[in-house]
Amino acid sequence: MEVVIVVLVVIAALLVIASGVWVAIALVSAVSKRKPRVKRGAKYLAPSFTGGSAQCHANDKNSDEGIL
Amino acid sequence: MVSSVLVVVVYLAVLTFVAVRARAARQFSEFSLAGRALPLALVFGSLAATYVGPGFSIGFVGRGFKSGFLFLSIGLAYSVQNILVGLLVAPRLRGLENCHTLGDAIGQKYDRKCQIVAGVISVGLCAGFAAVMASAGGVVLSDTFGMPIWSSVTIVVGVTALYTTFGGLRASVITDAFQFSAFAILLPITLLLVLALNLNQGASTFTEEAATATVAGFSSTSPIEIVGLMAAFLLGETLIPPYANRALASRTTRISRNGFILAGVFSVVWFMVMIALGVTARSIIPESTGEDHVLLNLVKSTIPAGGYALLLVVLVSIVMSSLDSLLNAGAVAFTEDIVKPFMCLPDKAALNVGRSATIIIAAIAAAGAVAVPSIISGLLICYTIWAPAILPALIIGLWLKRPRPLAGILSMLVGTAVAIVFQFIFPSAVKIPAIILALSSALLAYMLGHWIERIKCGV
Repeated sequence: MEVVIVVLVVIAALLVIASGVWVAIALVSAVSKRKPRVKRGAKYLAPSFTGGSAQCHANDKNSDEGIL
Repeated sequence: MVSSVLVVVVYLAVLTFVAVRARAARQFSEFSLAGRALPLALVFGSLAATYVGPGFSIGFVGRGFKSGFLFLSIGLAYSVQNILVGLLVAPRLRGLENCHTLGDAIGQKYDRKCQIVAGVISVGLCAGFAAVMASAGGVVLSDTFGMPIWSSVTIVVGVTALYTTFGGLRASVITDAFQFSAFAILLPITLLLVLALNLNQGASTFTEEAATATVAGFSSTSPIEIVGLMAAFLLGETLIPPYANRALASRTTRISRNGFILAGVFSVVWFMVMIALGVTARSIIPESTGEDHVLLNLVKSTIPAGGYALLLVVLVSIVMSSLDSLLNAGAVAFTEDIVKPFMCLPDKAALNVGRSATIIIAAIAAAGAVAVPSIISGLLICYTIWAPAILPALIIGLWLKRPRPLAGILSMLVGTAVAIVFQFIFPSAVKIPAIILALSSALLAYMLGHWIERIKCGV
């Protein structure tokens, strides 16, 4: 019983560390994406964490499909 | 001391780099909702970084030290709340068009008056929560460097306000993710190190300490207190403005729902780790240690100096990640729910109002930090007001086909008034916890308002 409790605590600690690593990977990917190139004639592009274009996000707004 | 300062300077440099990469907001929709483009990992990380404030870290370690696993069972109410919000409320909220805040959602469901009342409550509560965070940040810095509390509070609030003012929600979310990664990796490692290196006789000592503290915790807390605490954890932080902003800013309704569910599941393992840290501290530091100082003292007596500096960074991260979200949410609520209903604001002007409001709320939080009694008590006061003031009107409004404005406004005003009266003016007038009394009053007021308008309209 004693060992089981400690093992549970250790598993919890490892799960928390795994979550931290997952978010860190997402963060690195979000901040290291290069800004999308502005096409000639386009006024501006919508800001994005994924580097997608304004049109892409406009299409995606309120949809459950995500970016294809 | 030198290594501590060095670690803090490096940390601040990396944080600044991350904030700069997030770029300054150029439109109000970027400032308030980050362009509604947040992916799942960032919604989850930002939500978890926001709710894991000093209360859910320093506070929970202190409670684990005093009352063992009692607070794990109470904290589970919070996890259930997050999962329920993810399943039932967040997707509905995300589905609303042109909605920047909770006040907007309430305004769309009821009317403009209700939106303004919700806005005033949101801004007030954000300032209150921010004062608790500022106080906690001040305590951490002043304990470590021996600085006066006012200068510690100024540093923490100043740095946070700086990147939140320019970057808005996007900077808040990006820096939250960075801060989340820092504390979600370093604090469990601290626990594993303490378990491996400092606990004499290992598992049996840990289990004995846990059992002793938990029995003491249950015997010193009455059942009605436990019910009150569970109600506070279940409802007190439900959809407070920073969480609602993340639900609204998710890329899709599915991400909004899953972000809350994941954050709820994460809170279970997080509480376990924090309580376990408190339990391990029982055999290492003196029993007379104050609750808010258990974590700091535990690390001071078990981890080498460099490790202590790292912990300092972790604690400052925890405080700043909650504080930035509150500052941004309060500023957006002020602009959208209080200023915009009275005047037509062009986008640029709305952005400037939002930025100015961020600075004003930060100044109020810094000034109010000295009045905060303790981290957990400060949070419980805010919970007691938020839940009755907003939740009945918001949740019933999202589900009813034709919600009545009178019901919404009555419920918000009565809920706020009863919570303030029984929390501050007559705290010991009744034995029932103030949050339960105020919540019941708000629900009754809602039903009364609904009934009166229904009779008036004849529908």
